[in-house]
Amino acid sequence: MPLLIEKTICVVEDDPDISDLIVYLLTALGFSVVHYATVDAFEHRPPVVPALLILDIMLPDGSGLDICRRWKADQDTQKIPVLMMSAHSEGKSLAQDVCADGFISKPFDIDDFTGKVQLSLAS
Amino acid sequence: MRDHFNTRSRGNKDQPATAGGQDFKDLVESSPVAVYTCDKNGYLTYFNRAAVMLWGLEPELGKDLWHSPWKFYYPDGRPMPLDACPMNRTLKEGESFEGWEITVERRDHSFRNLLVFPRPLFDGTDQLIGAHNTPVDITAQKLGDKNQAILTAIVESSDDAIVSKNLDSIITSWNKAAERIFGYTAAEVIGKHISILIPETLLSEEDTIISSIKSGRPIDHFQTIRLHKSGKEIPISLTISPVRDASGQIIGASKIARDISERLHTEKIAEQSVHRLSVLNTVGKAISEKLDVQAILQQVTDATTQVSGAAFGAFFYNKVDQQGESYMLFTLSGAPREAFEKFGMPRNTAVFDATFSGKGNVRVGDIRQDPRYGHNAPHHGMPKGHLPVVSYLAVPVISSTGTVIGGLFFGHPEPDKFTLEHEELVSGIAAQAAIALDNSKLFEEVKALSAKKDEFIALASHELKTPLTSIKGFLQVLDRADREPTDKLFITKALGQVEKLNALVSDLLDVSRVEGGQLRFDKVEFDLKEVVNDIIETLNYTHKTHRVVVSQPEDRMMVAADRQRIEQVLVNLLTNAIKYSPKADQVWVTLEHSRDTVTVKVRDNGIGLTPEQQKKLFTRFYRAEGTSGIAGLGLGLYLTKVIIDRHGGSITVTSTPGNGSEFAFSLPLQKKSNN
Repeated sequence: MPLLIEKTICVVEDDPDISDLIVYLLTALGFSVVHYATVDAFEHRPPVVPALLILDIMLPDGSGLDICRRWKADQDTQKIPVLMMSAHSEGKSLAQDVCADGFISKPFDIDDFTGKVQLSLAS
Repeated sequence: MRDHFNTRSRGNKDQPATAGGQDFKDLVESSPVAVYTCDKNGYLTYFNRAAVMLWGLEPELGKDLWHSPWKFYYPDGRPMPLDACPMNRTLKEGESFEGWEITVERRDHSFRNLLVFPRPLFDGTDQLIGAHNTPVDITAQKLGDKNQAILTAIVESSDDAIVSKNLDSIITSWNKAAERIFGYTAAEVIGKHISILIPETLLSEEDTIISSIKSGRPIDHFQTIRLHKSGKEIPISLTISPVRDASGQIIGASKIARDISERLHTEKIAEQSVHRLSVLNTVGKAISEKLDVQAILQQVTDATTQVSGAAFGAFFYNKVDQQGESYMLFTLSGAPREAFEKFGMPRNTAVFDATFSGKGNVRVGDIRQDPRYGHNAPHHGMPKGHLPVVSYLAVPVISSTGTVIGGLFFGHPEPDKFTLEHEELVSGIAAQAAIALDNSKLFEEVKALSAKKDEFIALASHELKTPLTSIKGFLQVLDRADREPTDKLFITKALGQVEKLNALVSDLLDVSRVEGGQLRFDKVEFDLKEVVNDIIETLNYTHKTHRVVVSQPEDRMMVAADRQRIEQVLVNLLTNAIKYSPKADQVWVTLEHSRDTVTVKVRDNGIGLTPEQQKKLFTRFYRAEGTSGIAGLGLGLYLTKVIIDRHGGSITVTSTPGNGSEFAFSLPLQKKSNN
């Protein structure tokens, strides 16, 4: 795989194993990854502009949907693509409701996952 | 005293007295009236044929006594001693006893009623030498009289008016019942025209009746109205028959009139009863079909207000506020909401207490007179602007647990409007309403539980999918690297199991959503052939044990359906076909279409199904016997059937045990739309 220019991807996912998996996959693609396990942690993140935001819907202290809503409402961030994830059956339509740029359901095929990441970045 | 018609003897006492001439003798001999004479001792000296008939035997002259063939009785049936007998007295006393009535019993025990005319016979010296008698047989007359008396008694004792009239409609007889029913005495009415009884508007009836009678046609149970002397109308049922004389000529009519006011009243009550029952039934049905509390209460309030004849009615829901008093208005009927709201809620007064504590029904003709009324501040009665309530009816609505849900209240501005029947009817409806409300509560509870269950399943499946995500992810990562074949194999197997687990969790979630009515479809138009072929390709790759053989037509098979769900169906049927034919190496798929439907058939050559199993196949959690070695939850076919049914299609199975099975589902063919 050709080495990509280092971009940062921001991941908000509360399950540590899934988080590790995603970090591993993205790092292998050449991205730099920052990850947060809660909405609160995400909101207090250091100011780094990511190339992509990957959000889990169900978070212990809130909803990824709200983060997406605010993200898309904020002029500074609305251009940055958001990929939503969920094990929730209605996840896809929920993600569409908040104008996410992509959606992946859990459990996912890792190639599907990386494919969608590339797709979201390309748009 | 000597009778003027005494004959005096001319001859000696041994010869019968004669009135002169053979003609006369013949006359007496052949007279239909019995004639006999006897001497002063009573021995018969002459008798005619008729006397023999009357005696019932032929006595011997000179030897037999006049009374020997008979036993004597008074007309009332008491035995009469001989001394009291008129004839005997004539002989003893020398007097006549004309026209006396006696009864005699003949030797053959038959009776005769007689009018006797015994007269003494005297010789020239006014000595009594005998007597003669002409007893007149009045038996037939007496019988006639007796029958007549019985008939008269019947007519007089009848409850129905029995009236007779002639062909000119003049009243000729009038019985006691007629006096009672019509109010006229017989004297007042006999000789008058029958039309005095007929209301003006119905006078033409008399013409119809007379013409019918004249032609010999009786009138049977004709329901009409006649007038009492007071002018009051009486509903009656008339039966009129022609009266004929001895020669069969119609000479008048006999009318039997029955006062049917009682019957009409009873019928009306029965009709009302039936009507009320049907109202109860209709309301009951309507109530029991509803599960929405508001709708039930409104229906109940409307129905009860109507059947009780109230001017307005309301259902007050038993809600106690912080002060422990007020009741909230819930539904009302017969008056606009403003009228009830203007003065605030009914408060915990003595009048209302009876109802809200469930003590029973309250029914008052005039509430203003009731001792419970008017004691509570600040209004001491009805607040100004209150709806005018004089007649008052209140019925509590009590749930099966005994709690008073609330009360139904009815008012009317006129007094004494509510009867016991109204109260009973409303109570009946209130009882049904209580049941319906209980049901609705239960339904709400079930819905809540069901919602909780669905919530739980959604949560559970989410929770189950989280670890599956890691497992699948990491196994796939491991699979990427080059490894020993056995390692690769184990990883593949592990991944396979993860997929199964994933599928099971998804199915479980689907089933729960089917139950909760939340299974939604995203219908789009697509070519079924495409989907089928895609699935088969994937399966041929993942399930190497069997090969899928396809047979399909050239043209497209368009359907409007949820693509993902149809895929689910196909995967289910095909994996089943493979699963349940472990010894075979092929499954067959056939696609067909007719004018309106597309059909997909999936056939295997496996263990097959008995008719019993086929019947239960599509039910939830069903697994056929003998399949315990084969994994599965029994959800796949259940979901498949739900999906196909909800798409307006149908699914069938044909199978024989040991010879495999064929599943066929069809969907409506999507006609080409103008894109």
